[in-house]
Amino acid sequence: MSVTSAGRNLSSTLPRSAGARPRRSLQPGGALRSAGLRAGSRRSHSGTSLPQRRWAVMLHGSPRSEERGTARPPGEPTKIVSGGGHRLRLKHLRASCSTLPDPELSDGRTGDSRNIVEFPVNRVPQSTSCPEQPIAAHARRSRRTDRGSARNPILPIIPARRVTANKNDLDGREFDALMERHGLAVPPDRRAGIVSGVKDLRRLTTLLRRPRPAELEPAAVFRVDTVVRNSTHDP
Amino acid sequence: MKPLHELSIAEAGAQMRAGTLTSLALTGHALARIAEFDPRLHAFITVTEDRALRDAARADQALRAGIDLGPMHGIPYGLKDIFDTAGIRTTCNSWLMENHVPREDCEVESRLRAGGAVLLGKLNTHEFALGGPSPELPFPPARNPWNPAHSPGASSSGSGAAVAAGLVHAALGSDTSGSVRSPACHCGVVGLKPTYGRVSRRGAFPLSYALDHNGPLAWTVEDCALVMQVVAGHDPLDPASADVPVPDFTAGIGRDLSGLRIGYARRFFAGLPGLSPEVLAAVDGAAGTLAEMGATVSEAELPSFDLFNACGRVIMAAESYAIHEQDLRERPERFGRYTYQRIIPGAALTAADLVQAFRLRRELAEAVNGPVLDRFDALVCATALSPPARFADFGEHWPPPAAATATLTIPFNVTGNPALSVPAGFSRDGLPLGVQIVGRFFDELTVLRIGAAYQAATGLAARRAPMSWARADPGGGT
Repeated sequence: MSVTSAGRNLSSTLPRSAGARPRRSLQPGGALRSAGLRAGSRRSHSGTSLPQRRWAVMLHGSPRSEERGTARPPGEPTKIVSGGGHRLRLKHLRASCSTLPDPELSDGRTGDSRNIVEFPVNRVPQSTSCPEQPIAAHARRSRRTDRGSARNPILPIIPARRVTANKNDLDGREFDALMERHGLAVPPDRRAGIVSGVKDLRRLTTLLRRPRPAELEPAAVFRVDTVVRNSTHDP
Repeated sequence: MKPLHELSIAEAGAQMRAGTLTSLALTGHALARIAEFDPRLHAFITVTEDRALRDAARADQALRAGIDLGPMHGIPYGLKDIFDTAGIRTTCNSWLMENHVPREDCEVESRLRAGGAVLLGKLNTHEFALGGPSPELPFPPARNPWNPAHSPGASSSGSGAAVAAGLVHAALGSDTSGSVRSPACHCGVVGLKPTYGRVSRRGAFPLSYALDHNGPLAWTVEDCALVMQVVAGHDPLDPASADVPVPDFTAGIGRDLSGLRIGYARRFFAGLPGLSPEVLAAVDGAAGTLAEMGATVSEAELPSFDLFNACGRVIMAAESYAIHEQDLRERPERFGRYTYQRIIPGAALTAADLVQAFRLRRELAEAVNGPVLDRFDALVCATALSPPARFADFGEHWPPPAAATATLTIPFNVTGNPALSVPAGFSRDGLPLGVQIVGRFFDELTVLRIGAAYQAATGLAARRAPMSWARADPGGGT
């Protein structure tokens, strides 16, 4: 008996579809729904017709999955995931995603860039029920106070010392607003460790948001059951 | 003849049943060692000497009357000081809980007490099982028995230190991201994080509802199995407790490894920052030993560690913040520095972050238990990526340098699989290293079987921590 060495092509060690155990997500209901789609039924459960766009969503996952190129062409039946889904899941989860574009950002920036403050924090407490209002209010105020460029309605309401602040100071302003919102009074001597903790946590949250092809969740229902309570494993 | 503190639970139990040893003698010996070494080791927060002696006498009396309450009957043990004990203060090593005296026992204590075990006291912990070795906490941090300049690991630090120093025969710890396995690894003892739901968490102060596990630390794998025999089982009052049969956890102890398929998840950790070459060599050696013992060992691939880490830490941050939210607002000055700095960032998370983390958790659990553990009976990998950190590595603010806290334990809190840390050797500086064995859901038997065979093959259990540094001054100075 020997241990295989590092550097071996591990993909060859993954189980084949035929030998893999079917997943719990492959319930009879899933097969029936799929069969119904194959039969060309374009009716919702209530029997009403649905627009083509909505059908595309039902067949191929969320609109976002289409944008990511994971969708199948309209009319192609939903593929029932067999045990081979294991392979897909592992492949899907394999790569370190620290350099993956953040799906929440449309310009392809990597997730880490979310740490950069994208809005002046002092807008947060001023937000109102109308999303357009703050900008207009800032613009009016900027004209009133004549404190900055009227072409940028945001900057003028930021105190001068903050306009020239660096990125870390901007993070600090957001941090202050966050703490205030939660009613937390952070002692100055404990601030540094918390700021770095928040930054690190935000870096981690970018890793959670990943493109998920339809095969990863064939029922299109996110199950929140606990991991092992329903395990059928019999030791 | 072995000194009493070096007897395993199995050996001490056999001698007590044969009438050649009493629980009172075993307990008295342990209390004497606590008095001798703990003033400098700081493994204990509270020593329950009077109660221990009473319980030991009662255990002896029961055995003489032919009443045998099970494998822990008459055995001295300790509890991490986050486990509620009726009438005994449970501080969580926090000024916030300084005077907290519970009215009821936690479930594991109830089971151990019913099993005739002898509680020696409450063991040191990082504040609320999180924090770090902060100097401003009510009780100073536990030291590593192998070298007092080094941390014994987190957060069941007192549990690991007390077992390694021979002050208790077993200890109970909690494991949310590795707090049983990390101190076990860094103190050169065995620690088992059972399957999620196998051991009740009721009465243990929570850190993260979704990730908390309770489990034993002991000198041998067999001893861990014996503790599990007493503490495992369904608790209808713990919503996460699983209603599954409790097997004979010792059934696989002593069996060889032929026929077992073991996956070595080498690439899972071999490229991670902070990995010590000594750790890699030790775990490579462990995989080789398992293969020589008859197991079929081949390389296994797991999803990226970064995903497990992100998923687990986001869940832990959100849930720990939720637990402490009110005190963080109203009594922030009562938290230790590291605890405060580690919990507050949870306020920055959104509901969507948490939902995405739970969604990823399920995907990761399926990825491990589908393609990987369908093919293998168990996995092996490192427990910690480096030898135990020096206390000097912990600065004013959290986090310390990555190497000081780098462990490979959180993935199996995320998935819920049972995971065992077993000693795998020593660094050049004489500090313990560990290997982690991971099994299928509720298959602790296989994990313990592999761990016991490996421990027997290495002979490492014979090497004990040099405790001469911790002997108290004759004048009682610490």
